[in-house]
Amino acid sequence: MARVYNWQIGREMDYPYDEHRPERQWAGVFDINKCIACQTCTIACKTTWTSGPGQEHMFWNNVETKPYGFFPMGYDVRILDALGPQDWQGERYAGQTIFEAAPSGERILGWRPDDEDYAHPNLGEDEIKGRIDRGVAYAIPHESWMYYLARTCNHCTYPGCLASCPRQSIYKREEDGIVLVDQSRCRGYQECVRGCPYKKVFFNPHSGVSEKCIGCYPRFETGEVSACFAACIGKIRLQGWISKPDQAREDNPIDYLVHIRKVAVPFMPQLGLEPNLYYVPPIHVPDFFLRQMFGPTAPRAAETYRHVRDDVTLRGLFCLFGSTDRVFPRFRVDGDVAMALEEDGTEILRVPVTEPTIVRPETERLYQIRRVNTP
Amino acid sequence: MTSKHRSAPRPRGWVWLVGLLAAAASVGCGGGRADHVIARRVEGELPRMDPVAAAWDDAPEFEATLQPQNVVAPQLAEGSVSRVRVRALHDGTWVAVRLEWDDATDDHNVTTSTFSDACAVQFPTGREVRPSPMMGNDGAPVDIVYFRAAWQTTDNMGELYPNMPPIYHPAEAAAEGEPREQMALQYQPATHAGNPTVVRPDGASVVAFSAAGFGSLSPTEGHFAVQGHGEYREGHWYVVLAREIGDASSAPLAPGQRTAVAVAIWNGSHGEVGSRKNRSDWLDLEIEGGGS
Repeated sequence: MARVYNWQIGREMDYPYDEHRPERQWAGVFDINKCIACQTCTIACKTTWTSGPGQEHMFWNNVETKPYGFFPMGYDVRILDALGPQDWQGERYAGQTIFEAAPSGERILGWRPDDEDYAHPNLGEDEIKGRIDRGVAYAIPHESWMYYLARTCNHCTYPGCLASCPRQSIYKREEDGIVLVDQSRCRGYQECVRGCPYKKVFFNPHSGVSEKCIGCYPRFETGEVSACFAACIGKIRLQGWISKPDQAREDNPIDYLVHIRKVAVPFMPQLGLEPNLYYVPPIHVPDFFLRQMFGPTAPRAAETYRHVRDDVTLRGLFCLFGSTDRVFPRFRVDGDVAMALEEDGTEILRVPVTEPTIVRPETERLYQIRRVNTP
Repeated sequence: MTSKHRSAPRPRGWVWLVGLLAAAASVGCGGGRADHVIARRVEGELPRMDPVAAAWDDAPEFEATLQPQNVVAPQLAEGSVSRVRVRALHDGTWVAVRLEWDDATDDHNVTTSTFSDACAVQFPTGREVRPSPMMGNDGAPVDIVYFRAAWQTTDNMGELYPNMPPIYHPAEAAAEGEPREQMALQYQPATHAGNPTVVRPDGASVVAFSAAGFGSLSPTEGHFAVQGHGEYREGHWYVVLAREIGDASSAPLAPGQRTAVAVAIWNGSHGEVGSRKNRSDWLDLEIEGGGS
């Protein structure tokens, strides 16, 4: 085992291979507070990549309802249960990662879902945390809660799938950090299915080899965002590049959200994979649950988000979410305008930070019609 | 009940003896037992695709012991197949190894967490150096002939999901040629990439590989031809794995030579796949000379 640095847990950790970060790292930010689980992202991915034989059960992108929704069944609670209670000391993880907790004779602490675990991707959908007794639904804040969690492969800096494969059939691309299964080299041993705690590698029973999210690299290579990002009608997603914390740039939209304002946090950082999808945590969920799902800084991120209306730059950046199909490596907020920029500063587009309010009269005299207030 | 049991006729001693002899004949011990693997030369057709052909009765049987692979991770903590009966035949150009082992279940489907029964034999590639029995080592590669029961299953999806409705697959609906190629690139990447375990010539149930250490299983690029077939009968697997001997001047498998063979068995229902396997050490292999 090599020793590598994982900034999300604030310390070095064991990993089977040396630390080697790609030239640039694919990353995304999902604003959970805006997701309505319409599954448009899921279908965009499904029609683009997994409409082949043996891919019927695959959802490289899925949206589940927390706390009772899973795909596959129980994927997160099962690995958390296997890992057992662990501690954080401030922002430093004092527990064991799944690499450090690997049982004797194994490369990683993992578990493999059964076939049936993929059969009910919407089980638990819209389920709330607890009962709604008479009148409770009218109380604010709500005593009961749920939220939607959109997921794809995290294209981790320290992928569990890559670490699990006994024959190095999984690799991380130097140019963008996208993690791929070499389709000519895979022998279908399913060690990656066992090793990925997010269960984002899938076995194809028709071909007999494993497949996973490819980060839409054919689109990404041309500067376009992935299909699931482009299709998001709620505009909850922002795709780009993430830097190491000590190299964070204020005008890089991902860096700004993750490193500088710390309003977006990784999913289950305690597992040790340094995942590269970041979530703006839901503001209505109890802190204890946020900490378990998104680490110790999640409550602070939710608090920052609560005050986003008073924060011109942050508010402007959120207005750029889903505004263009281009990956924009830079942004600027100038007054009431937010701009997405190319690396060289060329403007891709601009959006108003505050939508103008236009008041029209109830009766339109020109056409002699009355307007109906339909939202 | 007691009286009924008492009244049942008890078999006499000689009946058991006859039964034992008959059983021995039925499993074909005509070739006798040997203290190493002897590939006997056949003058007629070599049963390269028939693991229960009568010709196997004339081959001596060697019983090899297997141990769980517990050297490199991921390991097989507990083995499930401890013995395999090995026979071999050759015809001067091909050598065929027949493996027989006990297995309570016929595992010939694959899906998530469902694995296939499988087996493999490996041969050293040189005369001078004996490679590591665990898939060879750097500088000392091995040839491997690998069988998976699932590769004989013609309708894996249909057997696993008999009630699945017909599903429209654009890749299969596309016109032959370039359109279908493009669809395969998108929806059947392993096929498009020519993965040797997916794109098998004539849907063969055995594939030839080379290896030089754990995790290095690679296609042989047509270095030697292979054939084989497996049959599951009443709690036993019978699998024949055959390969071309190749150039006799360099191949260690030439008639009249003594070389080695090693065996690996995977029990699918025990979660055995990849490096989680039951393996033998090198077994002495004698390729009988003589004949034409």
